[in-house]
Amino acid sequence: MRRKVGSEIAVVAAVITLLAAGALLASSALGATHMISRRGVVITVPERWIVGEEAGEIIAQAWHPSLPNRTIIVRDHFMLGGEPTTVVQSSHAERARRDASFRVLADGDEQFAGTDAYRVDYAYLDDEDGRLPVVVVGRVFALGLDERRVVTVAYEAPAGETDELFGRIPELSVRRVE
Amino acid sequence: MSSTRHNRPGIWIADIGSAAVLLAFVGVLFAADALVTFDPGAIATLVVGLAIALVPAVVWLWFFYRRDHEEPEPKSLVVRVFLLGALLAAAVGEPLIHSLFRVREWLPHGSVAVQLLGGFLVVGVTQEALKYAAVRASVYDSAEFDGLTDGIIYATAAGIGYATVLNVRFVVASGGVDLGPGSIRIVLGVIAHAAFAGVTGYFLGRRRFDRMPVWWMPSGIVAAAALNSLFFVSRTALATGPLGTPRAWLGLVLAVAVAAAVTFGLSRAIRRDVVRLGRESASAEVDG
Repeated sequence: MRRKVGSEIAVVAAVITLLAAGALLASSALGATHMISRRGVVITVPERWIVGEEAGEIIAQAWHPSLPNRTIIVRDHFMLGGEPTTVVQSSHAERARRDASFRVLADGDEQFAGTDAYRVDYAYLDDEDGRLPVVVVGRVFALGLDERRVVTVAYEAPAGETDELFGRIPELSVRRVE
Repeated sequence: MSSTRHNRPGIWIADIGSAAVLLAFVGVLFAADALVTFDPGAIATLVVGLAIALVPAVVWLWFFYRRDHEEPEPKSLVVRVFLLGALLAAAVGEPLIHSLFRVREWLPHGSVAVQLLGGFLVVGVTQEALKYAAVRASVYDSAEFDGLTDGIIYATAAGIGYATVLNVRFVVASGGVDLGPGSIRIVLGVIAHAAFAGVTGYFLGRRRFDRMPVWWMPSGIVAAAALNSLFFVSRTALATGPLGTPRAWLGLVLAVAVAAAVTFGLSRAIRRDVVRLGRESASAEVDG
């Protein structure tokens, strides 16, 4: 009887110990971050996000693993003049010209990663007349780096999943370095 | 002669037979997949997917009852352990793995070492401990648990119950499955989970009828959890081709190889134990 009880206690103790070690491993893997430093911009992305560092104007692309195909793109633009808002507005005007289902929903000033930024929410509708539901929702933050450059952080996801994606924004940070 | 000393070869034949039927089932579904050229619609795809998810459990139970002539286990008890395995998977195992440990967010993207370690410590230990619990909490202390092979039989039932819940979750989350690749994933999962549970079941059977040290049963769960992790990491590596092309069938080959190795190893171990217990019993009778 004593052996039987001892064996049961050993099973419970072993399982609890192994799961506790698993919890430590999970916690460490979830907390790890990946840092990208490129052209005066430092982007910190959780390690578990798949990150592609790209050439050209795209500094980084990230996909949250629980939200595949919901892309987060960090772009580095050279300003032709004016404010960060001008870069985003001209980019969106070009998008709207190319794709009639594109709509800007709202815009305004907002803090992003502790920096003043210009925020735009946009959507792609299911048809060009806008009678059908929104299919894709996106959000862009534009941060002025200096007089000639602006960084945009864009998030895009199918409608209905955007709240979850936008809720992940604090996990990614973008900052400029001198 | 007490059933404790039986090897019951019908059980091994049932395992091999059900695996062979399941492989044939995958072949038939691949052929059907090639023939079906129309879109059956979302509801029909889901219903067919759910039916496919349940087939391996039905096949195993059918074979088991056909082959377990020598001392058939009560059907209701085997079904009860199967259902308890399924219930523990749905109510405890999967919520623990996915909501508490959030494995989808880190495990697939870690290094091979992290995948092996995480697969063992989190996924393997949770799943194999719950299969053990399903047997331990139900049939282990009953009079029907009267043979060394009973641990393997009931743990396999719990393992198949657990795998069936994983398959149903997969089908529902995917809104159905492609007949060919979907059936591979479903059959592979059942064969693999049954094999891991068989290892735990062997340790359970020995503990029930032999004087084993306290570390014996934890070692069984650890062995099954390690096999679980090693299998799924290897399957993932094998199932992705050099250009990212899916090679799901290689995962199925691996599952069959693991199940065959486990079945062979366990049947040899049981045969050896039966002979040893027989000798010990005979010598006790002579001494008495």
